[in-house]
Amino acid sequence: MQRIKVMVVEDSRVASVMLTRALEAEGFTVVALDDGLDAYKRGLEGDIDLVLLDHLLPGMLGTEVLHRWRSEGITFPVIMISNVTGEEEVTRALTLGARDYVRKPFSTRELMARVRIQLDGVHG
Amino acid sequence: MAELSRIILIALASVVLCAGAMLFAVKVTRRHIEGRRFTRRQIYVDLVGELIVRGTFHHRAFRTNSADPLFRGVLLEYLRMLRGEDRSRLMRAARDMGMVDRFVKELTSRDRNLRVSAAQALGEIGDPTTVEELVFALADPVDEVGAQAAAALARIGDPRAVKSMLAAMDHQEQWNAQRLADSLFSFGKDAVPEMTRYLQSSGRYRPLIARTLGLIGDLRAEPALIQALSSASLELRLRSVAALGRAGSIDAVPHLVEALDDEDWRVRAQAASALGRRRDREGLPALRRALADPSWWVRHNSAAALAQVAGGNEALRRALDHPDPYARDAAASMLLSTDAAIAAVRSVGSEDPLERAASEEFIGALAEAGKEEYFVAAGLDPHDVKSMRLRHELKEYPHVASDR
Repeated sequence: MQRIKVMVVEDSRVASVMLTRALEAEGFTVVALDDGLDAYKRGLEGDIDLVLLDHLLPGMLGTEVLHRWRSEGITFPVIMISNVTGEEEVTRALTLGARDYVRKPFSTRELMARVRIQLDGVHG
Repeated sequence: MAELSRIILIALASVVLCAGAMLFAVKVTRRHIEGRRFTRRQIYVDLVGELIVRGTFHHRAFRTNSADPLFRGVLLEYLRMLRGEDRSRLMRAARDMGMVDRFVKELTSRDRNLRVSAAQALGEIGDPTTVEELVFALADPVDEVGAQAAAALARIGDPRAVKSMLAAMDHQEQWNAQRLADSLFSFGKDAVPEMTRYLQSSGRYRPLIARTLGLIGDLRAEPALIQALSSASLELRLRSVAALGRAGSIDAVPHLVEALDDEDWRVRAQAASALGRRRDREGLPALRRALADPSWWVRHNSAAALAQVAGGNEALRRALDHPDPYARDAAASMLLSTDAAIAAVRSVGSEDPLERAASEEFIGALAEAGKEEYFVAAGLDPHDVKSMRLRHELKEYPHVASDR
């Protein structure tokens, strides 16, 4: 059976490693990227099941990446992870089609529970 | 001669070549060192991330590398990134490997930069056992160390530190005292009893504390803030009035009304705004009186406050007939910024004669108060507006006749 593939888009090496290790421990295959534009292109390839997306990224902002995916008809669940926590930013991300918004600092246990909920919605 | 020139040229070329080679060597060495640093950091990031997920920190590498500033930096980055159980475990590990003790020791180092970074790090770690040392660091001769220690104490959140922070504040310059006050705000309601005592003392920064108490918004501070309204210090009265406007109870309203008679216009203006924020009808008569205050700011704030209080719009309308022209102007300006002016313009063409008369009377009163142009700009015929103004001046509207 093919393993679930999660893309982590995060330019902070510490956060990226943390998320990657936590997801791998849960049995997911992880694709880690640190640039918004690269992530956008990778998302178009069609083999990603879920994305953990930072907002402030080099190349392209997280919300812009999300907006472009949705415009292209890409529907995989996206969980935004960011230390930009203003009401406006959160609302904008959710309006653009993010399924969830997690604020930094985060708890890996809680985040994995949120990932499971989103994947249950897709695969369950 | 030619031989000498040749020798000089060769010597110069050799010097240039040597200098170039040296520069190149320095560059290569620096790049090599940076590369190794980068690689080492990556290894630490991977290692710590791995161990957090596995939940095991009894790794030999942890103890071996705990003295390396790069490793400590990575650990602090993880602490900033995480919360919950992961963070608690990492914090315990940092303590077990002696990192907390190391930072505590560095708090008394002769190197001021080391003291600053140690206080910062202790704030990130947030270990309650370090409160005493951080309190001691509040009195550090370097302001930045004291400010970082205060921020660390705020993060730890042990209210026993509040008294020491307030005492340390009195020895700081204004900008640093402000930073300490910001840290005290982070304690929230736990800091209120001690801050209230400070407010009643002769502390140097009582105005800052009054402001912070207003931001925290705890009614236990109200009696001290009310008492501060009769202080000789203008700044303290000003901050206390603002704090009561933000967080006071109904008991504060009569005192804010009294503050409308303060000798300084800044306190009176602030008191008017505070009464607006309280939205208590008890303040209406005083606010209406304050519309005739000699200060433009007091008149403006009183009119704005009246617009916020239930029944205040009616008071503003009545103030259009105030004997003082400044009061009329303040009320008219404020009424123009409310929906009432637009509603009146719409009702001019109403088929209901009573509604029509009321709106014409209102527009006439505002026109008489010098706001004729507003209604012309809103699309009414200038002759009609003039006519409404004249009728109002001549008291031809039934309301005006009976009111006056």
